[in-house]
Amino acid sequence: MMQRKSSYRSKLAVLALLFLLIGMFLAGMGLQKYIVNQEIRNSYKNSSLIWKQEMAEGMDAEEARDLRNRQLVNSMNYVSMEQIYFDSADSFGEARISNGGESAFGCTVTLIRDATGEEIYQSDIIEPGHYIESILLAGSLKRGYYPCTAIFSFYTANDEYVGETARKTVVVIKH
Amino acid sequence: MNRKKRLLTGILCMALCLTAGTAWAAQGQGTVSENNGQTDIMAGVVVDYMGKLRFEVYKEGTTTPIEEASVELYIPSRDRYILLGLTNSNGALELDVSYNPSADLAAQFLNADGTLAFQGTLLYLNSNEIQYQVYKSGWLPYPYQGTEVLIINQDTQVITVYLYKKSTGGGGGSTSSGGSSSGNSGGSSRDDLFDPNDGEVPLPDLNEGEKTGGIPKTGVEGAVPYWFASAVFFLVAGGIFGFLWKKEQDIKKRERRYWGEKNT
Repeated sequence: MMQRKSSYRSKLAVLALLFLLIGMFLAGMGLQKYIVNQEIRNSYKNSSLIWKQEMAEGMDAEEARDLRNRQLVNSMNYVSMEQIYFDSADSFGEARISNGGESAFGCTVTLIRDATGEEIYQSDIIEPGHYIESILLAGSLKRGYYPCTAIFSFYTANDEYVGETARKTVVVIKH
Repeated sequence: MNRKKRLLTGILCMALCLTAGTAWAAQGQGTVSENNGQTDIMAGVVVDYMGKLRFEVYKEGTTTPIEEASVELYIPSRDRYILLGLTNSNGALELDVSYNPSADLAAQFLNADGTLAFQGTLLYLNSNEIQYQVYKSGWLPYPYQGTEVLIINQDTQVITVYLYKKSTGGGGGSTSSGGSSSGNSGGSSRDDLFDPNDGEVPLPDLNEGEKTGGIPKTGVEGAVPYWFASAVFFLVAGGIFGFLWKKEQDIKKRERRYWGEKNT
């Protein structure tokens, strides 16, 4: 009888230990989530972007989005991009994509052909005050006139992503 | 003689200008016309069409323009809306757009061996329909989302969007479109207009490109459910340990009593 009671108590003790372990695991998960949250909040506080700092101070997300969009459109004013001409699809074309020295952000440019949605060019980051003179397209377009969407992704000096905007451009393959 | 020379010089100058102009254009330094939603089609040359699209954003039921409203177009290959610009003080934003030339588009992008290089989604839909969204903080719907069929050979296609102030309540904004620059800028009753935006669709996170998620307002979002669950498990474990401890104490008490009785 005593032995049976002792076995019963041992089982209960194991169950309690199991519950304790599960509780500790869940508490750890919560703690990890909390730490990640704090890291994100700190990244917003320490960001060089005004809208992120304002969000850390409690600014509404809608207002922050307006602020960010104004910043992006302002940055687009410094970006220059004309029609891009290629002698043939597999030769370098004169692009003249520049990011003005007054711009606060570096940017990458991705060209997407409107008719098919294919990505025909992706640049590295163009720092403020720099430009790309000539580019080489991916794939092999035939001779023609191709309206494209140029997507500009902006980054701060610390490689922090700011956002993206788009602009229409035209790629002309001459031969 | 002088007159003859002047005439000859003039003719030579004109010929030079024409030659230089042609050569300049052939070198790709000239611009390619993209006006009026159509382009010149040259024999054997692939041509996609471009035209002008103008967004006009007004306060609902009025012609009061809404400045700095964001206008975004859906880019299927990116599977998201991308900012094209903000409306000006007249509540307007003019964009270049492309049309489906209804040609064999797939055949235009081929590998050297003739195989198709890309099978992606179109920027626009086959029916020349684009998807757009317009929004500004403090205005509803947030965002206003709509679709528009692009019509080739229009001077400037106008999409008029009406938003209303948050505090005034109301339904869901409205839109109208016109085929010319005069457009359809106001005066239409919202009841008569097609409203594709019955419910608000939340905008993606501001940090979409980084995929980091939004800023946690309090810092404990997502952690509380875990802590609550862990507290339940701790309580149950504590209860069991307490029960066992009490049992242990009872046994010890009984043993002490047993040995005490035995000694006496």
